[in-house]
Amino acid sequence: MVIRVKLVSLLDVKNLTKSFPLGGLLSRRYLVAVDEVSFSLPSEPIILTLAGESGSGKTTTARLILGFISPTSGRILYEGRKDLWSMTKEEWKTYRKEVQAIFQDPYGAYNSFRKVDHVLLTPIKKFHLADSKEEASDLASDALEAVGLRAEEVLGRYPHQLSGGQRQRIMLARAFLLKPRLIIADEPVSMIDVSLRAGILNLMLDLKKRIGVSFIYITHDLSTAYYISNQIIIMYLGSIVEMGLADKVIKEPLHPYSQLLISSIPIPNPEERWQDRVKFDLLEQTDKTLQSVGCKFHSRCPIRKEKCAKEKPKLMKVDGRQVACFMFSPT
Amino acid sequence: MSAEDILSIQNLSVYYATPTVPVRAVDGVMLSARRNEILGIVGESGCGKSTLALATFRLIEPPGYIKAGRVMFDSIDILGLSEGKFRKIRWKRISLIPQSSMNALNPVMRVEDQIGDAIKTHERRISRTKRKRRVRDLLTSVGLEPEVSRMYPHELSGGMKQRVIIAMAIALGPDLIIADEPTTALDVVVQKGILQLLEDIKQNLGSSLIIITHDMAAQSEIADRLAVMYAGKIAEIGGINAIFRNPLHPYTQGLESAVPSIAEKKTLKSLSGLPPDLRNPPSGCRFHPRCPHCMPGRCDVEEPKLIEVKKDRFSACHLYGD
Repeated sequence: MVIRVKLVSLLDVKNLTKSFPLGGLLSRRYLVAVDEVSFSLPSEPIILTLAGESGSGKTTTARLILGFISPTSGRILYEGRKDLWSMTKEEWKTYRKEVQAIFQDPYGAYNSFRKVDHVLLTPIKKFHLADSKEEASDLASDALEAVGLRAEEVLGRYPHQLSGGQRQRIMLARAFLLKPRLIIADEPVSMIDVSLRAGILNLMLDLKKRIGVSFIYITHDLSTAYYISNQIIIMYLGSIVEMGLADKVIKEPLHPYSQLLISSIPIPNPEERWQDRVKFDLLEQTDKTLQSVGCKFHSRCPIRKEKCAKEKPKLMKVDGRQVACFMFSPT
Repeated sequence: MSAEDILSIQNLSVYYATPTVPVRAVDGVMLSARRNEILGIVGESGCGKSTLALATFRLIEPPGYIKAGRVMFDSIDILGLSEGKFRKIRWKRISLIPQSSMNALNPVMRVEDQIGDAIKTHERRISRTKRKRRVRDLLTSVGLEPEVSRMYPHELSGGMKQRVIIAMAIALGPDLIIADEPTTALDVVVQKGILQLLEDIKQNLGSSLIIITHDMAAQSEIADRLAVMYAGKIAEIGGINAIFRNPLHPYTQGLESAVPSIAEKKTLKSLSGLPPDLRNPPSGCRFHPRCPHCMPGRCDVEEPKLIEVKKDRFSACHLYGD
């Protein structure tokens, strides 16, 4: 008999909203960057992708989860316990240790006047991971080895002496040092050359499997997302339009926006070229500040109905995933 | 150069001077673009693909210099022309869409004046009204509303700006358009729109295009032939289907097994090692330190020549040939 234990999820994002004021002091206009976003990460390690075009709110969501900015409303619960913004100092410190981040520009994260050792030794010092210098350098070497680098290859060097791939691996090593449970990876491979990109993606898969760390992978590139993720969330102008298992979302997208997005991804096979043409009037949303009452996609939607301009569709369960489109409402 | 070629780059070397030894950014490149085709050039950052485009458009500035070679455009030796003579060709017969040029639009000029400038330079007598009409027609042909002509760049989205740039590039009906990373930094739906627009230009205007991008998947959607560059040299040239079905050069093979696809989930492999420092490139074949098929004693000594392995398939690798 299988005993099912209800495990507490690792992270719960509940009705998260972040709006930024636009214009001058007295302006009442807001840009709702993240709009009532809810999702959760299970306790077992997975890679979850937040995908979307520029202005979809994926990076703002990441910054909210990392606590860089505070939400306008909504909550972020870590391990089912407290909301990020009501944590004690001690809890916050644990959170900062267990939730790590890597970013798009692996060069910008370094101080170009200091050797790369610095980025590894700083967290060791801050979180008192080692009692002596030797122990600290052992820890650093182990972490580098875990990400496929040899310590003698990179330690003692300056960031400009390393390749983009090596710099990004060191960032992962830094995250790895703290034995995190979750790594937020915001476009970690978009500035890395194709031939080295696969190495970083494989490393993420490997870290998930070997040390059980979960990832929130933020990207505009659904091809890499499909390669590494278990689940995919597609965002559009701050809202989730579709989320579910990667295979479902990529292979059989249901939301008209997901369909448009996925049919626009180039496939590296000249014998399977695009058959359809993208219509210029559907190309992009020009006004990203619009405060629509209805579905945000309706002005570009090929199957819109009257209702879509008036009412906001909620996420509903359809065929193993969730979709926010009236086409799938039961009535 | 054969009659079907519009552009022929012959043994071109472009170096950048440094206080020590020069960076050999483009080193002995042989490449031709045919009439009415889309030639794709792929390669990773620092492989020399942008330098190649700039050299073809005579835009190499110090510390860069042309070390050797010729660029023949329709039997005109471009690099040997006087500035005055080249001015007659630039934009009218060859145009360039430089990397991130959509961010280089003049912020205080209306779209119609920016596109109009190029027309005015070549057709002095054209009246103001006629010019404005031309601009509106051009904007329509790239899928923009004619009203865009009265707008300023900040009023346009990224995809719209890129289409304004393309309208500018086709304003004088050139025979050859060189586009350097035309879709980088654009959203995926917009990227598809721009790539299809470039394809239309080939179909409707009968122009030839050279499209430079690091994105193998984008190339596979529109290129007719593909040239793969590595470390300042051409590794392989061939028809797009043939190159994807049966890549010859180990570098091309490596690239193809590193590119993810939503059509199939295969395990990706990254190439070992790093791209070389072009001040001091590896001896012999520049790819040999990273090559899984490296033959010691040959590949690290002798530089492979670009040879025609089979019809229309060129590769610079010791695995082929004698």
